[in-house]
Amino acid sequence: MSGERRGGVTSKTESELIRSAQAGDRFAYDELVRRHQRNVYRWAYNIVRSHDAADDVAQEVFVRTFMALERIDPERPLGSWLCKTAVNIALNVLRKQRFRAQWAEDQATGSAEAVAGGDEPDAMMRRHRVIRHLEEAINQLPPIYRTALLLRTRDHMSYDQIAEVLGVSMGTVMSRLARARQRLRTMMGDLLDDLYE
Amino acid sequence: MSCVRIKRWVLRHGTGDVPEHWRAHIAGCAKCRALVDQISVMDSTLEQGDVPDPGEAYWEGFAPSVARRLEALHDTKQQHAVPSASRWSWAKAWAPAVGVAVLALLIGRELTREYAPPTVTDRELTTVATPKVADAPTLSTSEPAPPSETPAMAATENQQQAQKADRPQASRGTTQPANEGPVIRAQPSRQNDEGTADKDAGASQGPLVGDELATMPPPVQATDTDDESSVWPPRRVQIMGQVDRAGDNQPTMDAAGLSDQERSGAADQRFAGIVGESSGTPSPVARIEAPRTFRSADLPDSQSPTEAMRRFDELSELQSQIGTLEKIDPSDRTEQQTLDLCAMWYRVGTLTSSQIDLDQAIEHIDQYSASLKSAERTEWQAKKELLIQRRSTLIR
Repeated sequence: MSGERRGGVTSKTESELIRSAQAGDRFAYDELVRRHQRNVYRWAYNIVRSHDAADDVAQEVFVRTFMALERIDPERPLGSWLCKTAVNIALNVLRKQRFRAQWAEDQATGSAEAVAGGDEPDAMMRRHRVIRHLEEAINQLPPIYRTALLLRTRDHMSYDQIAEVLGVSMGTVMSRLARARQRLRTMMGDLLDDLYE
Repeated sequence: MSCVRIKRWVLRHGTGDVPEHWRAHIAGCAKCRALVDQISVMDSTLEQGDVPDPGEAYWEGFAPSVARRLEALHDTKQQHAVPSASRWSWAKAWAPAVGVAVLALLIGRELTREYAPPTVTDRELTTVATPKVADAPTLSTSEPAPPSETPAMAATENQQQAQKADRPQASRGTTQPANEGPVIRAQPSRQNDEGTADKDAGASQGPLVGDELATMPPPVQATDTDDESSVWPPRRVQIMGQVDRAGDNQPTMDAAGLSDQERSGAADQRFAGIVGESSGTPSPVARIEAPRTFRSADLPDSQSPTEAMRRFDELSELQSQIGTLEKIDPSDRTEQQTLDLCAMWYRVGTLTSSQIDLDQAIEHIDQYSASLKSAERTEWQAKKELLIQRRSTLIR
C-alpha cells in the first residue's frame, strides 16, 4: 500500500472508513485492518495460544468481516464485531480435536519443562518462572473459561460486553470467570506466593 | 457462611470492589485473606501479561495478506449467484479449448488404441452430484464401477451396473465406452493390495480414473494409452488427487486419490494435477467443462473462490477420513491403511494454506512412514521434503 493511499485514509474516523469500505473502497478497509489487527491478533492468540493459529484466525476474521460489511453499522465500534468474530473463529479452531490434541501435548511438554526448571537463586528469575507457569496454566484452561478471564483481565471488558462477545448471559460470564480463577488457583497452588512482591 | 459467600464473590468479580461490609471479615480471616491475596496477584499478573509480539515485519505484511485473501474471494458472491441456467454459458465459453483437448485425445487414443475407450453422455453429466470429495459420482454411462466403499457412490454404481452390457469389467477408476467420456470417480473406493478383480480387468480398459469431481471437462474420449504423458485428460482434468491409470495394473485411487504410481514418487506433478486454462468458477456441471490449472505450490495464491471452496471441502473430507483411520490402533493398522494415511496427509499438505496444517502433515507423514518398508518409506520421506519446501514458500 503506497504511502499516498494510506495517507488518504489514515485521517478518517472509523465510521467514515466503514462507510467508505461499504462503498467499495478497499484502501479504507485496509486501514481498518491496520487499526484493528493487533487487537484481533491478541484476542485470537489468547484463545488459541499459538502464533500460527492466531495468524490464521486473525486473517479469517478480517476476511469474514469484509464479506459481512454490508451488515455492519458504521456508527457502532467495529472492535465489538471483530472481537466477537475472533472469539468465535478461535473457539471453532480449538474444537478441531486433532490440532487441539497436538497443541495440548506441546503445551504440556512446555509446561513441564518450565516448571521443572533448575535452581533459580534470583527471586526475579523465580517470579518469571512462575509467571510462565501461570501462562501455561492459562493454556490448560478450557477455552471458554480462558476467553472470559482474559477478556476481563486483559481487555477490561465489562460483563455485558463479554456476554455479548460470547453469546451468553451475564450470569454465565460470572460463572465462567469464577471457575477459571478457581482452576488457576488450584493449578498454581503455592506458586502464587512467589508472585508477591 | 461469610467465607463461602466471599469466596464466591471474589472468584466471580475479582478483588477490585469487595463490598465494604466484608472487608472487616477478610482482614480478620486468614483463609479469606489468603484467597483475596491470591486472586489479586493472579489477576494483576494476567493483566500485565500479553501475547508475544510477532514483530513489525509481521504487522506490515498482515494487511496485504488479508488483501490477497480477499482478492481470491472477491468474486465469491457473484460466482455463487450464477443461476443454473447459465451453467451452459460456461460450457460455451470453454468449448473451444475443450474441443482442442477432445481432438488431441481422440488422436492419441486412436494411435494407441488397445481397447474401446469409454465415453460419457450428457445425461450422465447432468446426474453428477455436487462435487464433494466423497460424493462425486462416476460419470461413466456404461462402464461398470467396481464396488464402491463409499455410500455416495452406490447409486451411481448401480446405474453403471445396469448399463454394463458386453463391456469388460472396469477397473476402479477407468474404463470408458468407446465414444463416451472418462469415468471420473471423485472418491475412489479404497482398495487394498489384494485389489479387486476389476483392477486386472481395468488394466485392459481405458486408463483413466478421475479423482474428485471438482471440475471436469465435458465428455471427452478417454485415452487408453499407457503413456503417462498422454493419460487423459492430457492436462485437462482437474482432480483433487490424482489421475490414475488402471492400465498400470496397480491399485487405483486410494482414499486420498493417490495411486501407487503416485506413491512411487514419479508423479508429483500429476498429483498436483491439473492443468488447463480455466479460470472460471463454475457450478457442478459447468465445472466439468471448465478445467483450470493449479499447482500445489501455487494453490494459496492462484485459486479462484470456487476453487477455494472446493479445496476447503476436500480438506474437510480428508480430516474426516484421517480421523477414522487414526482411531485404529497402530498395532491393528494394516500397511495399506498406513499408506493411505500418508497419502491423505500429503494431500492435506498440498492443499492447505495454513502452516499449522502443513506442519501437522509433515509430522504425520514422518511418523507413519517410519513403519513402512524401506522403499516406501524412502518415497514418503521424499514427499515430506516436498512439503517442507512448500512450507518455506508458503505465502501468508
